[in-house]
Amino acid sequence: MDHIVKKIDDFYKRLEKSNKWKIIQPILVDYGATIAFIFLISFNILFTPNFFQISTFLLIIKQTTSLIFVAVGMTIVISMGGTDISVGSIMAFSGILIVQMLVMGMNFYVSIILAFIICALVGTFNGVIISKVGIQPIILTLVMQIVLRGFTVMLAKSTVIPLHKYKLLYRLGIMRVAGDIPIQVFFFAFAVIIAFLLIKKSVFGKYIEAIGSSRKAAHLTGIRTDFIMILAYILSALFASFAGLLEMSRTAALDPNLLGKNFELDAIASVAIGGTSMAGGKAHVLGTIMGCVIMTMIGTTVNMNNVPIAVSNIIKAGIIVFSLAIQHKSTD
Amino acid sequence: MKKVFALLLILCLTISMAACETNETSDTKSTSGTAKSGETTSGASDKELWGKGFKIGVAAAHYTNAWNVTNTQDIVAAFEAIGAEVVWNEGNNDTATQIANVEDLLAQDIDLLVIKPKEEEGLIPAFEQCQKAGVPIICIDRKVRDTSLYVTAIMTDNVAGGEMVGKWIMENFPDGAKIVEITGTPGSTGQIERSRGLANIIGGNSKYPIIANQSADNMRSKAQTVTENLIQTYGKDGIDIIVTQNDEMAMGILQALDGLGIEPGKDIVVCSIGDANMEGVSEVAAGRIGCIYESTPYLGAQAVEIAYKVLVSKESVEKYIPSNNRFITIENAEEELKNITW
Repeated sequence: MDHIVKKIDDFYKRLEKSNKWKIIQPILVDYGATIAFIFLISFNILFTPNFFQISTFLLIIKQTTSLIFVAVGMTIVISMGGTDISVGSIMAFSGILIVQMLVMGMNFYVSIILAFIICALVGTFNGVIISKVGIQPIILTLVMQIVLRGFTVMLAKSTVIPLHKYKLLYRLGIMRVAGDIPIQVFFFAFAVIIAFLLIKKSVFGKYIEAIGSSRKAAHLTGIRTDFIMILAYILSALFASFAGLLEMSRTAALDPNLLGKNFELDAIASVAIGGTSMAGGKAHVLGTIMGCVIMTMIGTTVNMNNVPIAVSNIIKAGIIVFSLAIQHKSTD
Repeated sequence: MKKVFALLLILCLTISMAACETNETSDTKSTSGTAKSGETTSGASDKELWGKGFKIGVAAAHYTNAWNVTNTQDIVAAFEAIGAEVVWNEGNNDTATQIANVEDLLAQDIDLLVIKPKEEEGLIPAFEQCQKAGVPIICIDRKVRDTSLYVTAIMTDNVAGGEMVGKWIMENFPDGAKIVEITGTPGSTGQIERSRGLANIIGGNSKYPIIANQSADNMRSKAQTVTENLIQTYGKDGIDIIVTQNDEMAMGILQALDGLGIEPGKDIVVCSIGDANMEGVSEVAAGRIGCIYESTPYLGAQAVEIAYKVLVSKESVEKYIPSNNRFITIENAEEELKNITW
């Protein structure tokens, strides 16, 4: 093993010394996801039957929408140097809260807003404990993941709840605008715009990256680091709760055990593929969006070519390893 | 800070209040379940209440989905209906917990153990302890690898399920059909056996080609995505039948068809090998699902019957007993829907 590790290390050292790599690496990190995206698209256009149609692209966007929301929140948290693996459970938690309130006969919009407020409180809790008490984000959010999943299963009495009778919720999942455009497309656009405004255009985005680079330095320059960190976890929870609503309405059912399961992993993978630094300090919104689309499109490619589904996991793993490898900086 | 904590406290309060509410409702639900299975078991009037004086242990694998909850409640109720004392627990889907649970039951001097083992290998130590203590075991839904350790296993005949669905397809589509198979978790026993059953009937028959075979991991949302993608490739006219392996996935497929404006039952027929819960069967009654082969959670009556043979009449029992599964089509869906509570 040592022998192999040494060889890889040597390879990296030689790479980093070469002048060409110094030019190529930043491009690969910044646009790796875009390159992979273009590659996947061209592969599909060439080899997959019936791929090159508007309906396929609408379908991919429809299937990506929930993931996009989670991944935008994740981009904020990761570029701040944290992580939030409770998002999958928050999705399910917001879902069950909405459904419980609908069962009680509450107004659809009121129940959504109340559920989002409660999820924001969960995010506040995450943020306060992480920034003020200083517990490792991965540990705390893991605990929240387990606790919220437990609450969800308990509130749903362990059963899958069909949602066909809640007309507004059902329509939200299945509606099509102007004949053929799934309503999810608009949410997709909404998520993209919000992400750009929040991370790239607002001061908040700059603060986030500053905290990600060095929390101490950010604090010394006068940024209210604790407040910004709490805000980041609130946003992550809010995005996740919205994703929960979308995913639940898309399937027209609430499965307390499975809704949002592994979404945190897919979101982290999308962020990594997108070129956002895993160590924090640099957010890459376009990359994250590309990353999400790639994650979905791998599944689409596998389905449409009738390849065993296990292959899609192998491809995903390969892309993640590659995107992390090009971010590598030698320690000496 | 104070405001934040106040808000958190309110949150905790609301959640715990909600929790209390759910407990109450689930209690009433379980009592109604008892009454129901009491009726079904009362058919054996001659040996009624033979269970007086016996103590039965029930070790469920977990309590996190409707099948397992219904299954455990039905078995507990069936044994209570014959007058036996029942102690039960659930293993939280964790092998170590279930082993500890079995030990707890043994410590309470049970005469018979009814168990849904979490694992084929992992539970063997617990089974060996039962054997040492002279407690016979009835396995439910799953078995352990060493057949000498238990009396019998009551399980769904997955192969028969696949075959029934295959035959239904041949009867209802005599001119042939293009079939898509959307399976459960690849490599799981259920998936392999259900696919094999289907292949036994239609495999190699050029009139019934399986044009695509994809997995949806028993998940509704994945089944929906996979169906959308497959219809994108083959078009709605390129697929006649979608065969899947549980009701969850069948519902995901229906949702995908609805979203694409395809009429399930007319343009594309969905068949399911497994489950037959309330949601699935009512879709059969509505003509939106073609057929479902049940894998019933109502195993209480069968378990009691075997327990009688083991504890009272000392008859020998087959090692494997297929559960009494129904085959649901539009003819009997309305009728059977009345007997399905999960």
